[in-house]
Amino acid sequence: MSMPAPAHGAAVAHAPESFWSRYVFSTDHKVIGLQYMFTGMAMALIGGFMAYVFRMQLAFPGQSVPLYGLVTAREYNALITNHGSIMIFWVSMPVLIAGLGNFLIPLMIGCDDMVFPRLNRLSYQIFFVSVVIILISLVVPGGGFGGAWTAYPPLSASAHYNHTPWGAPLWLLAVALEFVAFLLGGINFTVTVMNARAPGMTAMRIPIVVWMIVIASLVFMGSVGPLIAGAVMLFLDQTVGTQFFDPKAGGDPLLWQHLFWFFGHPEVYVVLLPATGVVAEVLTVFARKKLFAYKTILGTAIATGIISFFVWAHHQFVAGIDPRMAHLFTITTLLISIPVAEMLFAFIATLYGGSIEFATPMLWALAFIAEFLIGGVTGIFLGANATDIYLHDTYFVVAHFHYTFFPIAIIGTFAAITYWFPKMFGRRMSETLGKIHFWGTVIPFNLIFIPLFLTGVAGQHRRIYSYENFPQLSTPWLNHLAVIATVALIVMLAFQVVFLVNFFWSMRHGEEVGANPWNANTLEWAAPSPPPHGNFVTMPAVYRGPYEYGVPDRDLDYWPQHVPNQEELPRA
Amino acid sequence: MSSSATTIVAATRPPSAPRIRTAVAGMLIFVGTEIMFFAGLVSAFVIARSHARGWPPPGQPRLPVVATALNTLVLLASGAALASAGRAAATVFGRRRALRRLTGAVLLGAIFVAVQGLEWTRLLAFGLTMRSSQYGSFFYLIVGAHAAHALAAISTLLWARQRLARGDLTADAFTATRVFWYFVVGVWPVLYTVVYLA
Amino acid sequence: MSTDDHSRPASRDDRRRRRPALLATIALTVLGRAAPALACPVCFAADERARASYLDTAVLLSILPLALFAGLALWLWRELDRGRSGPAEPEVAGLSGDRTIR
Repeated sequence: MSMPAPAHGAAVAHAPESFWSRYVFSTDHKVIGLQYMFTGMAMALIGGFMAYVFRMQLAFPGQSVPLYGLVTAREYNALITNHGSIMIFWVSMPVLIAGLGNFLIPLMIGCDDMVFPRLNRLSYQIFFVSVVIILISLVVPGGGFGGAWTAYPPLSASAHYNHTPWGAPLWLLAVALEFVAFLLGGINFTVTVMNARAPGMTAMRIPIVVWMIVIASLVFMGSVGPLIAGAVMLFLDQTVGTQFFDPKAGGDPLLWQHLFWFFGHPEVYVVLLPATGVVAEVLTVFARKKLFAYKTILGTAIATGIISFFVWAHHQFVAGIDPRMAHLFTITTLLISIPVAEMLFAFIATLYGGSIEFATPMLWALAFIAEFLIGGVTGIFLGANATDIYLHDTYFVVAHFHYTFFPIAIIGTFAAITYWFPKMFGRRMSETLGKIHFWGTVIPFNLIFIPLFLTGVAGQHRRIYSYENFPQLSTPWLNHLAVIATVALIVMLAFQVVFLVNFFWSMRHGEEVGANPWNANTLEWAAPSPPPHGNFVTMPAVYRGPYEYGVPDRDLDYWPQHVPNQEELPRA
Repeated sequence: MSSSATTIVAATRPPSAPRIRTAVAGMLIFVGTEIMFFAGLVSAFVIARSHARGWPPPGQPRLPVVATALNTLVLLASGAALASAGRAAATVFGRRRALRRLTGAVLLGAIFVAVQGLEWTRLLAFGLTMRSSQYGSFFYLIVGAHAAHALAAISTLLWARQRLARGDLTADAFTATRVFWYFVVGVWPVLYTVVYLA
Repeated sequence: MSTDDHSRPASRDDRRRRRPALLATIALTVLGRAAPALACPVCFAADERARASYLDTAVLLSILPLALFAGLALWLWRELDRGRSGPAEPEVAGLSGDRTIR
């Protein structure tokens, strides 16, 4: 039954030679994964700069911002809108799902490429076009779209209201194209994992991160359809002049929220699951211990995916929805914290009794658990409709979802990059710089958002250009908190320079490493670092689960998936 | 000992999992997303209709229920023709029969789209436009989205027909294109019931 | 005396067992008593038919993806079954998808 393994030489012979075919129009999943990752990192810099500009405006209203200048109210709106959109759609999604998924899935399940390589390339190309469009939308006449990343009508539905005749449709077009790109990518991931696994890679031997990316892709594909329908309707409202959402002619603005949040909330779990998968991989390797309750974690991920389709209306408690619906969605929202909490408990149990090594990836993974826990717990207050009516649209909400999204998109990504960097480039990143960067990111992060919890509870609303117009909301205490958050943000952004230096320096000059620098079990570490076109020297077969660390009666404390049970045979 | 161990290892190389049809699996997932897209449109339509005062609004033309019902039968016949093309393709030396039935399916599909287009021109002449009312907006949105899918599906069928005529269409690729057309055929009766009969 | 010893912890257990049911009853009663707060003047939320349609479509949109996933899982199951029980000569059974149609 087993297919003859293709020789390494044959794979290299087929590798494209020219720079363009190798790095720009490649169909190789690793190149596409890195393209997604680098694009996402570049967009993160843009999104971070936007955060810097509008936080400066909030801390020192009306003063010229260094490197930017004076911020007008309209620019402020465009900045917060595009900060949110870019960080969610052009940073979290491409890096966590598309980037990691492309790079890791074929390597971790033991095949040479995705099952639809050309579809994969098309996916990145469409994504790239969406990046160009969103960047263009920032500089067109009228400026970038300023109706918040949720794009609620009637504000978003007509240029009469939002004064961005080009920015709004271009923003919507970019978002829609981005969804098409991830749709193609998601189909690819799912079918690849269904069909291209190495011999012996049974369902219960697939590494958790691969499972997570697949479940996330399925949740994405199940939820994105209604939003695309809503986006088409909103686009027609903006360009053709239909009245789907504009109440002036009988349209229903609540309908957009209905369609938007049907996607918008599962989207949170779409980016959460891959990040938890990364954390699971990193935790076991650096605790040198078997992952606690593999099947339970898988079950909680599936449960999270299922319940995520029943929680979305908790974003509309103050929008005038049916109270019966609000009660139902309160219950489901509180329910979804159960599987997620269970997953975190399993992670903590994995640490218990392990011989923990505090390498940089491990620090990021531990920080993920701690910070995400705060984000999850504060979410309970917003999921309950009674408290949400007070807290809705205050900075409490902003702080809450940054405590979820920052661990997911930034901390999880850094865990992934520092962990798989040796596999990506064949070299190690500096541990010293990595730890400086870690503490320089995590401490300021808490100093940014803990003050915002307080200003939120004090009543400061989000999306307000200047609190000077609201005397009750610009008390000295609240202003101090805003300054603390802004200074912490600047410190955090400054420390990202350490990461960039470390990353690009290590790419060229880092310590060279072999195939398996972390002594890890999963299949990607069986391939050379960096893996050649076609990935493996001999196509691997799988003999056991991915987390056999510290098995008793073995000399080595790890047991790679592809190593046959040779030493058992004579005894048997 | 080591040589005997390696032979045992080679013999116990774990078996590969049985393969599924890649192209078909990919198309099925895509169709699932498309079903959710139309579910979104239908949901929006149902909600908009529920708070409208009079549906269809006074002064707006009524939709051609009977003509479209006949046209629906044409579309269903096209789906049946394609199904029989699929059965012919599964038999040995069934290529020519499959080709004839596939051509029939494409022609019936094209007739459906053409008749829909004719209906649109008549409705436009009667004053039902995208901007004339919510009723018109939703009609053109939903039926137009379906027509766009029908055109896309017909072009994939034409691609499959060309490959089949040349003799290099794989069974999987044919199944995948058929799945997409079955989706276009299958979703139409639902849309017809919601938009025309409500 | 001895029966007392047995019965007292048992009754406490009973009460403990009944507590979730009691809490659920109270919660459901409170939820049922909640009066609608009609906040949005333009969202047709006051219209009972609109509210019902929102509820209906919420149910439709939530259930449909799960049904689709279940369908996909079922298809996968049958597909794998077919692959396992497949005969040695896939050409005859029309199993090999890579074969061209002749």
